Amino acid sequence: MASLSRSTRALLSQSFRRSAVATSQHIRLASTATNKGTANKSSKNESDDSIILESKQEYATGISRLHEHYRSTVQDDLMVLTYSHSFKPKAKVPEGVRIELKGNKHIKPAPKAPAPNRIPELLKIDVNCMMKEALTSKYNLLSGFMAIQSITGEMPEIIHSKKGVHTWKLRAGNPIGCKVTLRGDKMYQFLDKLVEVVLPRMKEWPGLPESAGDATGNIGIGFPPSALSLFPEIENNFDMFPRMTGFHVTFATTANTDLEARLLLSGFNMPFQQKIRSAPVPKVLAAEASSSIDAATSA
Amino acid sequence: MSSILRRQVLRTLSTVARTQVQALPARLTIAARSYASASSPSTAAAAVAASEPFKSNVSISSSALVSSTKDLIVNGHRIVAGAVVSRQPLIVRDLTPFEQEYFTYQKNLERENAAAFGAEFYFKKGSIAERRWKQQEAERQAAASGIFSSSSSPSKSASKTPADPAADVESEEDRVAALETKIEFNDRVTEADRKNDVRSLERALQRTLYLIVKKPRDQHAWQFPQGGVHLCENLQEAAGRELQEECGSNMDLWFVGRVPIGHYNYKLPKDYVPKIQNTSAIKGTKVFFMKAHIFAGQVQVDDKEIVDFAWVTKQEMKDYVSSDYYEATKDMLSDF
Repeated sequence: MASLSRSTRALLSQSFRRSAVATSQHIRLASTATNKGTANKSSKNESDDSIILESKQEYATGISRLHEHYRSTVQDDLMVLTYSHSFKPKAKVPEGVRIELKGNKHIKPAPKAPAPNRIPELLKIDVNCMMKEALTSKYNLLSGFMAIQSITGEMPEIIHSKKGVHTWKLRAGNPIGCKVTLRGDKMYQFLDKLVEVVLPRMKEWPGLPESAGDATGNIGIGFPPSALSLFPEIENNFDMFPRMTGFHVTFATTANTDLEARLLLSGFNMPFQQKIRSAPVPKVLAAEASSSIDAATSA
Repeated sequence: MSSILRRQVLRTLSTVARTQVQALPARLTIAARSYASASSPSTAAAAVAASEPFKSNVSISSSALVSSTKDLIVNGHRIVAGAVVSRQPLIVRDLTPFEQEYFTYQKNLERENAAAFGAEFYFKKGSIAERRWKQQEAERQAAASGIFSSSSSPSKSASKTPADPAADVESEEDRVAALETKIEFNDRVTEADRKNDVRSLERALQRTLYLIVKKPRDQHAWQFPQGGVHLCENLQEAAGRELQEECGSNMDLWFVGRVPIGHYNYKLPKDYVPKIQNTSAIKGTKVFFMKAHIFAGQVQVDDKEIVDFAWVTKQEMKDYVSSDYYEATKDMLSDF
């Protein structure tokens, strides 16, 4: 670990051309926030103001395979699969109004009639990780930071804790994790990598459950630390990362329901668990078969 | 871990190793099967049975309460189900010259503004990997310098590379690595394209192809595979059955949903002689088209139901089918 942090610090302290500035700014943010701790809120805000980075510019460098696949195949199929000929909107719930929680469950937003302009689409992919080790030393976060940067190809954003929890020795303002939001080409490239390289090699992972989704058309997956090493970028430089960290990937879609979101992701080859149901038995056979089978089919 | 997933995993793994042209159909197969599992739970069993080759997600005998060969007639119209079987694009489309220029420009811009790569962190000093990376970096720099000649001059980078003493040493390992990592690309224009073999599924890899069949008659010979819906049969089952009757069972198909994607009404010609009696009340025919994808297999011509078939793009289809038929079906077909 010592070797990593030394070399990383050396790396970060070098005078890079442009974005090394951003890196060191991130790190400086981490150090100032930690040093100041919980108490001095105004000064923390000042430090936040001082490190506002330039808005990231998106570059269209080509057409991605999965995006083309979406346009040529998935989009058309979703239109057919989600089509409802007798759609009646519920009059009670006004469209677009979402009631946050009832009991412990989300109330579903009012569904809209399927239309060509409402075909579910992938909006963005969020990749974020939280590292407990960062509690003891903020430099422990660097390993996760570099790993997330490697697999996504974007500079992560450092996440500070909002509240302090005394029993976890967590103080408000401590750097505790990092996140990346992917859109456009980079999003499809990441999805491609995930689906073609990483997920097939995850041992004993049964696929996403049939009930995946947050009831509003977004799907999340949590990955164990072992999954990080399956990414080709990490795999080739495995020794460079002393701490493998688990991470979360959230797929934000424009789908209104979970079913639509699952349809969309399965169109990109995302594996879903399938309950194996018995095949429908033809009536002729069912009549000949024993009464128990007959009861099962009628049920 | 369920068996279906393990199979998916194996298939996906195997596709990674395959060449580009071959890899995509298999990938699409899994994608579409996943649709099936998510959309209609009743067809999950059919998807699970995917290990048996060439079975569609339609079980013909499943829900028919009474097996009847009587045609379904609604309000004096014979109901007919057609199957629009498509082969999806297998490779990414060609870029237009403008797109090419634009993407090259954007790529160079991105390269200029990208975060610097910490080579010292990733490569040990003096190692082969570092040397190789430096060479590649110099090549990339030289390629990009055509546009940004002010920021990086090609002469500078070119003179730098041979100056590096380590780069001159072409070791045995380098040559072995170069042999190992050599990637050969398949041709984007296939043999079937050159021969204009419309029966081949390997043609027009960038386009969506549709199956049309030729029936043994003079007029309206070329059509989508279609036939009458029997009593107590739904459209999807009827389309699957007709497809099997006309084109044989050597096709791995997947029907997209259970709703038709289009319809076509026509009146019977005046000189029409009904094959079956008791059809005096029939005024016309309504054709409902069901969408399906093909993943493997091919049509088998039996010379009874059909005499010929073709896999054509939407634009090519215009030359085969009658103008009425094309006008009725063109909006449900993909332009790309």
